[in-house]
Amino acid sequence: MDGCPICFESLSRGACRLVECGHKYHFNCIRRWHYHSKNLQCPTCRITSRHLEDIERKVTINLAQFSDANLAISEITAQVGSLEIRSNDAQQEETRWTLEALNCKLCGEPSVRTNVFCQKCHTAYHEICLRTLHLEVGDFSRCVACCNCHQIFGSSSRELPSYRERSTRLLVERPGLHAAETQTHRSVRAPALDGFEVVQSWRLLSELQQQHCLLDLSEHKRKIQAHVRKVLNSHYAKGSGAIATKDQYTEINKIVSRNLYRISDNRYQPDKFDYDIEALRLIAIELRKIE
Amino acid sequence: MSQRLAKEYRALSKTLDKDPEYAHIVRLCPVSEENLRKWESLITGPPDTPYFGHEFALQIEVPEAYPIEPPKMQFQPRCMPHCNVDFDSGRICLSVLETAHWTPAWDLLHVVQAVWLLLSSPEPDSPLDVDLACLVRARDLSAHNSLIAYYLNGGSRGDMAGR
Repeated sequence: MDGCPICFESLSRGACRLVECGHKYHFNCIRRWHYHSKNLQCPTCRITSRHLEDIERKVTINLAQFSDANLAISEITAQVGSLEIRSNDAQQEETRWTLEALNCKLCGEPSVRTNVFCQKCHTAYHEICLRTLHLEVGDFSRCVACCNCHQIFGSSSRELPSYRERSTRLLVERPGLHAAETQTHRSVRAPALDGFEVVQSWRLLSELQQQHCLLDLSEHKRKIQAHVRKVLNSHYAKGSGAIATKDQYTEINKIVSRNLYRISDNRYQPDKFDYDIEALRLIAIELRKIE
Repeated sequence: MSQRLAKEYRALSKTLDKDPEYAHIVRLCPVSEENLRKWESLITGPPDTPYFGHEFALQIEVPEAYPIEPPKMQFQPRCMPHCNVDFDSGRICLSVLETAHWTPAWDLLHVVQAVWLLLSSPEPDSPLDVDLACLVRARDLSAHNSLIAYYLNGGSRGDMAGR
């Protein structure tokens, strides 16, 4: 049978796979069944599956953890944390920690103008940088999350929307979600029988995708920027006189990093570009402008 | 989910016409095309059983939540003497029809098939007809079969309105 064994419709959209046995269903159908059956068995082979993989988006949900319907937001963020791509240059991070801790995590500019500070992981941001990043990854919701620990915080000017409101909006507005899926989601929400867990699953999936996207992008940018700083630091440390002030440092950092994001299509591609050489070249151009 | 029922209906008309494996299912279709929630089926008795040569009607009700919930299926009242069928009501005791055992990967054809198979393999441990179950348990096959044949051929069983 080519279709979903539960609704018999085509699996070309919204398909997911029970990781343990490999049987495929629509995300919606299988979660509805799990909710109804009160266990995590596969309807086809009755093997219990603890993981469900969204095939299109390559996101895996831990169903065992999730089966507790009283899911707190902290559990979601904990799960997202395991998706994080950790950067390898931990050493470099270490040495620059004191300096960086006060700079905007995204653009690297200094603390004087950072106006968002995550209380949970002590990371500083410019509000504008965070919001730009959210827009770039297609999140049009008004509240903003820490790129480092995913703590969600609002801004001083606007009230933080409640979690529930935000999730609904994510599903409706996220451009990556097909209209058809959004509609299935709605149709499932309507009857009482489908209940909490299906909706929660959707919410979690959407969260995961969102955060994954965000993490991905910020991680790429961070890696590219590490090269720029490395080159800049050597200039700065030498005291060659080329970079006189901290302001110049951050200005060049900003311009060069943005150029590099652009030429590498916002992806860190060390096999395609030699970022040290590119950074050196671009910094040289900027330095000449200063002189 | 009634789209799934429509799909089943379409697929069934092909399968039943062509597949000799289901020759014993004379009919399996909605009572009326307007309402896909009520179906009926007509099956013939399996060979080498006292039911052979007789036809039996099944009444099928498909709940709103199908296929998350199983279909409800029963024989016509007072037509099926079988140790797992309540004679007066036609109610069937069969695991696939119970919520605890049902899975949405099954369809109506599977269930009718399972009911048909039940006719040749009575399960005396979950009886709805104690007399017949006792005969099965005592392995008195000839008594069991002749009693069924007697009922099927119009033998009186209380207030039997039968054939």
